[in-house]
Amino acid sequence: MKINLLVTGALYSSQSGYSALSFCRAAVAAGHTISQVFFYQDGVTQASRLSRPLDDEFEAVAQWSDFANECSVPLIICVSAGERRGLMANEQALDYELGHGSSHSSFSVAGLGVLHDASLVADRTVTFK
Amino acid sequence: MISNDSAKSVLYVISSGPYSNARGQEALDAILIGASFDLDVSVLFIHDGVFQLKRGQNVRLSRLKQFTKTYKAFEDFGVEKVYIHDLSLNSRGLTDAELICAVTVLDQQGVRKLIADQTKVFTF
Amino acid sequence: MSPYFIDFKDQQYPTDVQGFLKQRLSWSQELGQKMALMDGVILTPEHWEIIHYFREYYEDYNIPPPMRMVIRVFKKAFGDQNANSRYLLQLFPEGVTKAASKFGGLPKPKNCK
Repeated sequence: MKINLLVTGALYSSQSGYSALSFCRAAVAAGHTISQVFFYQDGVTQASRLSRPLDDEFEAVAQWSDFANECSVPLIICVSAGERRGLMANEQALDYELGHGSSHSSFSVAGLGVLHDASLVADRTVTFK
Repeated sequence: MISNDSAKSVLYVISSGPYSNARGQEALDAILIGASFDLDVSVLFIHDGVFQLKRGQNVRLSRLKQFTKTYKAFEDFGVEKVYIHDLSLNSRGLTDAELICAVTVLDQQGVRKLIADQTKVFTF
Repeated sequence: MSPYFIDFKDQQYPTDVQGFLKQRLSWSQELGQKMALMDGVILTPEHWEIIHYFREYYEDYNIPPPMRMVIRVFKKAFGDQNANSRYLLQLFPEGVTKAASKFGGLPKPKNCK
C-alpha cells in the first residue's frame, strides 16, 4: 500500500514525530511504501537543524534524516507554516536577508499543494497530531 | 498533478476552537488550497471546532486576526459543503442559529457516513 | 522595527521587503497612489475601483477575493468584454491580487512570492 503522512505535532513537546516515525518504520517493514512525509502546523519544528536534545532523548532530526536516506522518502515542510515559526531553508533566509536557514538539509520546503498531490495518489493518508 | 481530480473528495475536520492555537487558521489555508485544486471539498466542525463558527467574536483587544471571517466567504472559493456535528454544538450550549454562516447539521450517523464517503480526510 | 519604509509627507511608513505596508490602518488613498508610483503604475479610476473592492472584501472576510469573484463583480462596471483576466492584467501587470492588495495597504497575499 502507498501511504503518505501529515505530521502536525511540535518537536519535543509532542509525541507526534516519534509516533509518525515508528509508524513509517513499521509500515516499510510490513512491505508498504511511504510516498511522502509532510510537516505542517507545529510539525515544521521537527525539521530544525538547531535542536539539541539531551543524549538519552529522541533525536528527531537525525532519525528522520536516516529514515529518509534509507527509504528514499521525501521529507517536506510547509513553506508558510515554516516561515511563521522560523523554520526555513538557506535560499529563503537569503531572500529575507536573515543569514543561514534553520531547517535541516534532509527536509525540503514546499507548499500545501504538494500535500494534496501526494494524498490524492496515495492509498492512505495518515495524520499525526 | 493527476487528472479527474473533481471526482476526488477531501474532507477537512476541524476540532479545535479558534484562538488558543493556530489549527483553525492553518486548516483554513489547507481548505482553500484544496478548493483551488478543484477537488470535491467538504468541511466538518466537530468537538471544540464548533466554536470557530460562533457568532459575535471580537478580537479587537487581542493581537490576533479574526481569521474566522473567511468562513463566511467559503462559497466564493467554491467550498459549499460545510457540516457541523449536532452533539458537539448542543453539548456546548450552542444552536445553529448562533453561527456566522450557513451549515448543514449532522448527527452521529451522518458524520460517520460523511467520513466514510471521502477519498481522503485531513484532521486538524 | 522594519528596516524598510516609505517616506511620505514627513512620515515613515514601515513595509516588508517587497513594499507591502506593515500597518494596514496607516493606509490612505494618497499613500496608495505613492506606492503605485514607486512601482511605476499610474492609478486610474478603474484601478481604484478594483483596489477599493479588494479593501472592502478584505475587511469583510480577512482574505483577498478569488479572481473569479473579481471578474464577476466587474462584469457590470467594465462591461462583459473588459471583465476578464487579460484586461485586469493590463491594469495590474504585476498580478491583480498582488498589486491591488499592495496599493490598497493590505498584507501580502499568501501564495504570492
